[in-house]
Amino acid sequence: MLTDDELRETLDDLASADARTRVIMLGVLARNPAGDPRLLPRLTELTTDETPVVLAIPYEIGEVRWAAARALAAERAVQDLPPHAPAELPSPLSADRLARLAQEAGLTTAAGLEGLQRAYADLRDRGLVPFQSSGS
Amino acid sequence: MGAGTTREPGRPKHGPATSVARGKPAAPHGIAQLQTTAGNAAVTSLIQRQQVPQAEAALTPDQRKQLLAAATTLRRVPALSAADDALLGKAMGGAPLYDKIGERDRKRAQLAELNRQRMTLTPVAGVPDPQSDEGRRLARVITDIATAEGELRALDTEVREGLRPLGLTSEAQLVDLVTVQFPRRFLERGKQIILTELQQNRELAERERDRYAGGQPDQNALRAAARDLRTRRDELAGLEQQLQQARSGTEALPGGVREPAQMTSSDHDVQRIGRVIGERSADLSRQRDQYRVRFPILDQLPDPAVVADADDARLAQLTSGPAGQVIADIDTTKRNVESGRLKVWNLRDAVDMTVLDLGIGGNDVLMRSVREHIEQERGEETLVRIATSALALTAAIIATVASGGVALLAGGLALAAGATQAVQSYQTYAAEVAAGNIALDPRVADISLNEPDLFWLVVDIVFVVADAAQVLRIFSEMRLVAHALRDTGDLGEFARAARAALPAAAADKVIARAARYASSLPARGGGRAGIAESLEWLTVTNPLTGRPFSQARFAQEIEAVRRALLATEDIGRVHAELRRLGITIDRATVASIKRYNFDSAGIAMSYRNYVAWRRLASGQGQVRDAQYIVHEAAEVGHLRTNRSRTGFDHMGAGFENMSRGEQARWTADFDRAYMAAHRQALEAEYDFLAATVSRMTNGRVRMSRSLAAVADRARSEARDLMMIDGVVLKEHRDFARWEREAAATVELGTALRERLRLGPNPTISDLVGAVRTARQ
Repeated sequence: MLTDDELRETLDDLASADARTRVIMLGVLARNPAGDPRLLPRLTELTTDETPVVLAIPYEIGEVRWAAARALAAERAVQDLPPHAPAELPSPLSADRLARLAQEAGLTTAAGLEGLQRAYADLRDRGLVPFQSSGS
Repeated sequence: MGAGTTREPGRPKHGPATSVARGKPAAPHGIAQLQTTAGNAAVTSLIQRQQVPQAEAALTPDQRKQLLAAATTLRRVPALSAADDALLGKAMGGAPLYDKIGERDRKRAQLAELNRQRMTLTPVAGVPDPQSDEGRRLARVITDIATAEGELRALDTEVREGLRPLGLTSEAQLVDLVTVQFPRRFLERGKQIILTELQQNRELAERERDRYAGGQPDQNALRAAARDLRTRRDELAGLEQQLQQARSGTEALPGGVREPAQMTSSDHDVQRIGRVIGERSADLSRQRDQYRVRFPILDQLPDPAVVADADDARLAQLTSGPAGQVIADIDTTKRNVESGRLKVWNLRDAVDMTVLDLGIGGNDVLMRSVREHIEQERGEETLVRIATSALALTAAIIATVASGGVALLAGGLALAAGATQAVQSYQTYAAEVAAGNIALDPRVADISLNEPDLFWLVVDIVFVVADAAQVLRIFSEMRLVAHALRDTGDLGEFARAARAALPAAAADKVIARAARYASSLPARGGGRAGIAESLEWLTVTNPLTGRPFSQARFAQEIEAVRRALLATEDIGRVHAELRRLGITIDRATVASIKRYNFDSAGIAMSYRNYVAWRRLASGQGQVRDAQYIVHEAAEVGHLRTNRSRTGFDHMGAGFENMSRGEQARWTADFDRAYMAAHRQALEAEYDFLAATVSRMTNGRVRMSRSLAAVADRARSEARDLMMIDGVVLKEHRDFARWEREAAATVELGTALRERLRLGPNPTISDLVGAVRTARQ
């Protein structure tokens, strides 16, 4: 259980306009779940957040909901709640794999992490990002 | 939902600003670029430290005192007994657990208070309306109780399980160790140090007494010094008189200063004489500092001028009195210390020197324990006064050197090369070793500026090595392993380097001190920041089971693979394979890379990193694996430099003990530090690849790092992230040209094509790809 201050700070991060801030807190919760039922509604909400974002270092791009699914699963586990069935979601892609897929698709991509995230969204929207179980 | 649908327009998309927004300091921009060249030179240079302009480099008085203490008194103190060493190690290991006991006890008190509040808020009968103020308060208290109970259980378990590895069977034993046994041994050690210092002072006082006993050339030198000081004082007195006279000739201006045009000749005189007095006073002060270290007895004379014109007999008499008094005070103080009448912690610097000797400066718990122990007893003023006099000779010298007084005389000279007379005197009379100049050496000051987190290593070397040049050489040989010690917490590589650089006994001492340093660092849980390249992992066989990775148990299986890798002792094999691939890199950096990639808080368990490491460890390394190591070595080097400058630990030591908010902030900071380091590492990596292509084609194909990066079709990150002339490679005005060049065919001999398994008419990109997968 979180204290009120911790809860506020956690929810603030999860509601941040910056997707990476949301994902960082989701990563923290996946690694170190708080066991606090007050987080569940926000985590559930984020499982529909399709914003492309840096999910990991070495650079890997995916969607916020990928990280949310993991954090939610970890939270439910420590709260002794039955697990949700894993969803099939667009897979995270390494920067190299993403660039290769973009090149194969004939996409012109902008430079930097911004460009990679935009390329991910383009590929996903064209159905070119492979799907993977959020449980893996 | 499409891309960016939950983002507010105009708000930053990525995280670099998050910590700034939370009030954390941003990492410095414009960090100097690592100097890289090709091949081995690239690897060696990119792990060298970055230099900062020298102008501001200076040791603090406290750092100088540490070096002087290590070089003089502490070097003479007998080594810790095996029993004391073991007790110290146990106390240092137990300190974090002792802290946990305190935390648990505070939590218990908090829980008791919460239960009291619940009793107060709970009505005698019925249940309060959950929507009422009372009901809400009660619900909140109940939630807080549940939180506190959970935390209390976790702390209890942690304390219980932490005792056994320390060889303790009860909390009481740990409390006794930290609060009674350790401070007692600490103060015994302090006593030993003070007795050593007293002995050192006695030898110095005896020498001062005998030095002027008659027929000695030092008599003339002392008289000359006293005359010089007298002349300078007289001159100053004359100037003061002139100033008074000049002032009397000026018309006082109440509350104001005359305009330059209205100034009289007397006004000008006042200004000029005032200026001269200032200069002469500074000269006198500097000269006095110099004489203080050359003739320690001068400070003990009521008026140094009395020896200026004294004949030999009179001079011997004048100097032997104060020296004899100091010797008597020393003997009295020794007796007082030995009998316990004088508590050594009442003496200036005694505690600081003991802390330095035991290397516990970074251990807050033990320091607190010592302070609390000391505060229970008060000192005896009279005995302290005698002891202060007994220790005055070295105290005056150390204060002078530490304050930089002598350094000023050097006029910026490199003291190690040609020490000033003052320092030579200091060496002769105070330390009996050629080590005093270490505290004044500008290169040591440079280390303290550029790598403040390695200053402990300088001090540790000074404990066992006398000569400044040697200290610097050994530091240079050991700085990378010291960084690795900080990165990994493992003593192995450090011990190996210490034994190679120092005689056995000295190495043992440095290793023991380093072990204490390492134990004062935050606990490192290691771990990983998730799993990267899961698609790739899922297409291969789990090396531990021989079967494909299970989707249902994916995270657990990857974790098992990671732990197995960490448990494998393969640093030597990777190191050897890198040498075969033409890369010269120290073992300690290889160990740091392994820990950084597979056991640090910011890096995900990456399939690509894992496979490259395994190929190297199994003797199947390819150029691309060497390229990976070159990249990681540069990245680690850059992050270490950043750590030295900002204190940000890229390994995330203590991450597991941070609150969730702190973990999030640490990760945001790591994002920023990583990006800067990663960009630099891409440059090093492609310098290496370009050089390797040139070498493997016997110089027929030469290319820039930009072309190498564009031609590398297997890795795209450099195109997106590497900066060329201040812009990302992909947006560089020459990018299209590099793409054309990468696609152009290249003339290679048949033998070379066959060796690289290239077909006819390969392009530059084909060549780069073939080189990457070659085994050399």
